[in-house]
Amino acid sequence: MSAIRCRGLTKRYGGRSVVVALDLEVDHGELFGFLGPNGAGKTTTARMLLGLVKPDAGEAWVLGSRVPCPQRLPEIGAMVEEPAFYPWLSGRRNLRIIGDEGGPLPVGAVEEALELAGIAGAAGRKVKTYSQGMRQRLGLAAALLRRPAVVLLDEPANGLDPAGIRDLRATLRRLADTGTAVFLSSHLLDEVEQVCDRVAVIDRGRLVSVGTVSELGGVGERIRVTVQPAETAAACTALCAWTVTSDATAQVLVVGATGREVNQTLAGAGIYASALVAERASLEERFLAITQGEHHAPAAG
Amino acid sequence: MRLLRAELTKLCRPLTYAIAAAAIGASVMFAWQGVKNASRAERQPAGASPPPTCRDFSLPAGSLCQEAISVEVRVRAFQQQQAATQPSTRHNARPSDALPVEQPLAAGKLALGFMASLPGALLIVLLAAGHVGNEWNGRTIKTVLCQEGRRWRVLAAKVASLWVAATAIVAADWVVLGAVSPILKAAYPLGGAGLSWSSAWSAVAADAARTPLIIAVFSCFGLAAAVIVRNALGAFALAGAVILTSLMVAGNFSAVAPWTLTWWVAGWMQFRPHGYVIYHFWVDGFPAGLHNPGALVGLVGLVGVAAGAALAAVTVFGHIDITT
Repeated sequence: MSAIRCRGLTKRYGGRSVVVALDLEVDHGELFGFLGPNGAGKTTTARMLLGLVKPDAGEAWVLGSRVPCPQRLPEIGAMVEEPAFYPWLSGRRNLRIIGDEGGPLPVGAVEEALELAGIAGAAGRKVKTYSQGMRQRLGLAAALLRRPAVVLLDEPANGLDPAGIRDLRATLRRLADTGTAVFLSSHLLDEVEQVCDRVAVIDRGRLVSVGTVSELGGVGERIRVTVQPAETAAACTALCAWTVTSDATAQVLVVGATGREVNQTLAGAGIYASALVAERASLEERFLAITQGEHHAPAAG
Repeated sequence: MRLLRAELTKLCRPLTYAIAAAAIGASVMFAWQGVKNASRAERQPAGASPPPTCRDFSLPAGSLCQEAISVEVRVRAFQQQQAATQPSTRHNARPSDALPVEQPLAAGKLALGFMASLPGALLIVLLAAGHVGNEWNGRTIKTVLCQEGRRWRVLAAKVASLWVAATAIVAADWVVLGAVSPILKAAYPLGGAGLSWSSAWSAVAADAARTPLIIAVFSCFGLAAAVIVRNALGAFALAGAVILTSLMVAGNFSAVAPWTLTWWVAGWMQFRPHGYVIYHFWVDGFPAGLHNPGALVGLVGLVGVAAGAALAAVTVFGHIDITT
């Protein structure tokens, strides 16, 4: 049973489609990246999974229960967009309120979550004195308060300092390793590429690609070969079984072949490369290739 | 209970303290002013005032002055006759009407009437607007609903917490008025031994039994406004406008007066015209041809208002998307 499943999830606002027939599955113990430009429909999808927004069509299941599933909410930790708290209360009191609203908490859960999010030192201060990064950390503490089976985070790295981002990555990895399904919605490619097991790319409400990070980035995998300038034409001819391009710097780019295949082929033709480097297109390149296929106006996200 | 505890924790905020301070401060001021006026009137009742002279009218002695004195004597005689035959009104109140304010237990009558009438209505809807409407302003409504998805339970906890907070404000007001009453009695004695404890209880018991329902109705009303408008300021404006409109309509249009919140509150609380102490801020009377409504009519009307407001709030809140 998947931790999260969507089938044909659709949401329209005033005739404008924000999410269109979205199909997704996230397994337990998986760190799933949900990637898309601003206004792609990421936040709306997260809200639909949490029962905050009603879909116009399609269905979603979380932990096997069809959304909306109030009885499952204590097992879902969530942070949607910028976390919101009561500014006149302390961070600790805010977490206690969240605890009271969602059902009984394990003993020491509040302090544990504060420690985990790295905000324990400021937990006694009123939230109105917090910086954005501190609020973000408190939001993470709120999401992890109940040791949830599913964690749904929307742009969790916003406002975090580099140390905070590093801690966040480590925390998410640890959660996934202990069986928690982590749904990480972000427009930050680096964040997703570094931690996620699988990535879905959404653009203008439509799912355009799903796969592992290497699968998505690996579509453009290539071998950069450096030969003597006089041998460039011969190398291109020898490697014609694959897509080959060359430039004036005596370098040949081979797409679709492995390094071993390229090496063998060139040797068979009596050409000895002075350098042979395997390059993998980054997720960023792939993401931009997918989402910038055509000009589009941002929609609500 | 957990949800209620969470909502009560949220109400530990400057807005609540300011509303409590405003209610208590205003009650004490009205008590002081009322007792002062009653005491002055007792020392110099209308019938014992010295006869008017030409100097009182700044007129020279003569026929014009004599005519003015004659009119003044007739007016005073009429006022005395009114006072003897009618219950107290703003113009011919009896100083003894202020006696409850000088007795700690009975002083609660002022706190109860204050909260069960216009000032209480406005303060409670202000509290509701801040407590419920501000969940949208502060975007915390998504935090709440990510924890408790049964939206009707969230609303039930909200309205219960509003009722508890408003009732606590009344209790605090009562305690302060009770503490102030001996001081007022010493400063402005009204004569006699004052009210006994049993008389004091008789004076305040009915109001104490009836006010909680009014507070519940005002809480439901404020909650519905906040959920419909989903904005603190807008919710206060909407609820306040409806209450004020109800008062104006009930005071001027006999055909619709019996179908207003004003009518039902007046009926349930059995508000009567006040004297030197203003025990409530509601209508003193209805248009000609309408007698004051009975308590049962008021009860039925108020239950209807509370149910309607609660139904509207649950229906709207149950269907809206949380996009803040």
